[in-house]
Amino acid sequence: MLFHTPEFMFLLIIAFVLYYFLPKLRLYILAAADIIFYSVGGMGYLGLFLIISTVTYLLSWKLQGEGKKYYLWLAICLNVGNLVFFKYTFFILTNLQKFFTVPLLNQNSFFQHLLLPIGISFYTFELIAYIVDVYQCKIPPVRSWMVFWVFISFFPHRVAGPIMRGKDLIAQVDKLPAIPVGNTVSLGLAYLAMGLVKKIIIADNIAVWANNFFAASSGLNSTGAWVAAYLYTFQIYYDFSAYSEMAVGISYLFGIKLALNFKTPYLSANATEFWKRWHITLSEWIRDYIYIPLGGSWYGSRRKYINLFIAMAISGLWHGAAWTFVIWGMYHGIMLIIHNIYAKWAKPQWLERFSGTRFCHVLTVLVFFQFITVGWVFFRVDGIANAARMVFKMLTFNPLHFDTNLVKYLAVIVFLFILHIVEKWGRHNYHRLAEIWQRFLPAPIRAFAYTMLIIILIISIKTQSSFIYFQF
Amino acid sequence: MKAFKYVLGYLLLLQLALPYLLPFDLVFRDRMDYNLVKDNLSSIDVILDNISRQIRQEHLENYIIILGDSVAYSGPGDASQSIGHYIQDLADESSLSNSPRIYNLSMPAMQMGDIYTMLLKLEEHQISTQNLIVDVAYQGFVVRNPDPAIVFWLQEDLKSLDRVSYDHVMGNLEANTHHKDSTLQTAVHKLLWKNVAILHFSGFIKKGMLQEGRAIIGAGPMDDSIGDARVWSEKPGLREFLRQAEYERDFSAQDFDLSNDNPQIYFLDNIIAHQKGKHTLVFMAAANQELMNDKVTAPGYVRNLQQVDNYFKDQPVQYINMYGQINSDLFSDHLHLVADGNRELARMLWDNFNKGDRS
Repeated sequence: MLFHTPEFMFLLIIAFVLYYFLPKLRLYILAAADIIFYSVGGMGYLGLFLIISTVTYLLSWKLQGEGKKYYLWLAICLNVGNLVFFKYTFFILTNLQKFFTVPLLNQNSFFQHLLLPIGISFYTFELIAYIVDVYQCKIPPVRSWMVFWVFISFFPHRVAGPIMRGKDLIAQVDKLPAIPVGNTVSLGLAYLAMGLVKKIIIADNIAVWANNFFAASSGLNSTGAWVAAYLYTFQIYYDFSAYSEMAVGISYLFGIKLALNFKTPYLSANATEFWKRWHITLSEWIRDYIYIPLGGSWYGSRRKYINLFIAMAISGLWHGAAWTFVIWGMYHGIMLIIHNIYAKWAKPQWLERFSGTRFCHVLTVLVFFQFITVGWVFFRVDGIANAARMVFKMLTFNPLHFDTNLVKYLAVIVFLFILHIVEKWGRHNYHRLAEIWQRFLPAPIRAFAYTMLIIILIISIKTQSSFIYFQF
Repeated sequence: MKAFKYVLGYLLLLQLALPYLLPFDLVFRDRMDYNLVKDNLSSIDVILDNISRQIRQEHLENYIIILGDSVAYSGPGDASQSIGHYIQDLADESSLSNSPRIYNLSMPAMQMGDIYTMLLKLEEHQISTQNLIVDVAYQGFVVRNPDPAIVFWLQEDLKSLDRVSYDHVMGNLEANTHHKDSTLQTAVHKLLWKNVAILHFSGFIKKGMLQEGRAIIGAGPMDDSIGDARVWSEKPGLREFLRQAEYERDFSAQDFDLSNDNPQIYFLDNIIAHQKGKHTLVFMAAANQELMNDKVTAPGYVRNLQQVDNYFKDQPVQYINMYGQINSDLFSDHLHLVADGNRELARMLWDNFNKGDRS
């Protein structure tokens, strides 16, 4: 059930009212809500999720005694195996078939039609983080199954993150009856409204244009290829950050704080900064559970760069079972390596001085944005050859052959970039703006604005609209 | 908290006032707004409510309902080029002392099961079907394998209004259902769309706001056409396009099964039974005989059409077959008409309807 549908909102209101007025039953209310929301996607998926999380929960008890290493690997294999089976089996068999020219898949293979359980990539990472943290004694194993279930299945974040850690979420779930819900409702509604506006008003409308451009990608000229890539760049940001902010907002309604996943990432000046602002909980997970176990930066620069590259390639593969995602991950790995080399380089004094200027910062943000945009082509286009063709078109851009028919789309893109800057400013000044809003506008006028927003959102909902990150 | 209370107040006010705030022209003008209805089928109920209210308020006793598929809807042209509009013109210009009001409630892709369900819905909204024009097409009688579903749009309505008929065609409906929402989600969706005014009227609020916005910037009225309304001979590639498998099926010359086993006949029988004692005109929509010459002159096709004609001969409804009565130059493609074609069709329908037993 999608966050931006009235059906979800209706059930959310029921859950919220029960949660608010029955504080002693909050754990049970959330557990039931999690089951109801997840079961909407299919009872089979719910059954699988219950089994995997319950077995992981039971195994976590064995992670502090004798033979704990075996139990750790058993739990990791169970979770990774579950993910690989549903998400990568067809991909693996197809590639093995190609490589060895041995028929492994028949025409109507079972694996081809295997549907991906909802949120599997996200809950797998969360369960792995939990068992590794328990194994490393960073957190104790959860004793109550109900607490564990609410932690892992908490419906606002279940489908597409943020990827939460046990230390952050379990502690909150443990003391649900004592949470002062009223304190965070306004903030929750503000995040929810921001997410809804981003999704319904911005992302879904950009999607119409972006899809049209990509549907005709073979006939696009160089300007058209850039416009398509720019539009998708903003579509994926507004779509995914919308989901994440709605998740944060809905959690705040229940007095629970989730991690922020985005901090206006397109204002990053380099890849290192970008990954601290884009899908933050994923990049932190990759850092803690892949990059550092690989050795991180402990074995010298060369090994660090290799580890970075491997970690980012895995991050790419996590997004989807296709080589284009792996290439996208490797592309970001290369950008991270280049930035690390540049940061370590003893720069001449003039360059050091220039690097510190505002002009240089703006310039690097704009240049790095182009690199980000090129990367998204691999994320969006089916097939490496098609993506490469489109990137080639973009890189052979000739300003003399600028397609003036596309000026209106470029204007939209510039507007979206400005909106991104405004978002940063708004977040920075949130408390001041909220205070002005409350102090200078009487309640009836504020309420009128909220009502208008509700109407505009309702009439703007598109019937066929999901979130891009749901497919991962 | 204070603002929250005001929001609740405003929403309550909207809930009560919205049904009376929408002008009739916004809800219905010449025909249903396909682009609006297809995304939110509960809009049909809004339209029927408004028509019912107009009938009550203006004490209308003489009106004609038109039901059918995209031909009766008069796609791909706009509403002012539709048969509903033209028949209304003819009615207004006629010497009848009490010229009838025309309500064209056709919709593209409507199947016979939808038409039957619409009759039940009209009854539910207290709209008489005393005077009815129904469009049938050759394609509707062709065996379904399994598409198109015999009830394309109104399956849920049929389920609640006539469970026996729904169960009778359930096999065909299930075979055509590619995606099913969960029961919980569907139930909540129906509950909300039926009872929450902002959702119930959302399509019309959006249309009204867009119309106002366009008026402010001087952009002219909204265009509700649903495709290229030029004459077929001006459309390059149309012949090749029509060679696709789905069109081959539409013009199949395989012998028709005109028994009750054919869901088309099952619903036609239901419609005819429903219309007993009322004035009903059924017309067989014509195909473009120049563009589809090889298909419509095939012996099996001709024989099938003859069988349909024979079927209607035995029924207590007025029937006309439009094959050969509309010039090929008046078609927009293989089935649909350009504006002049719709005007011609409207004239023939009006003349024939008045020849029949008008009530």
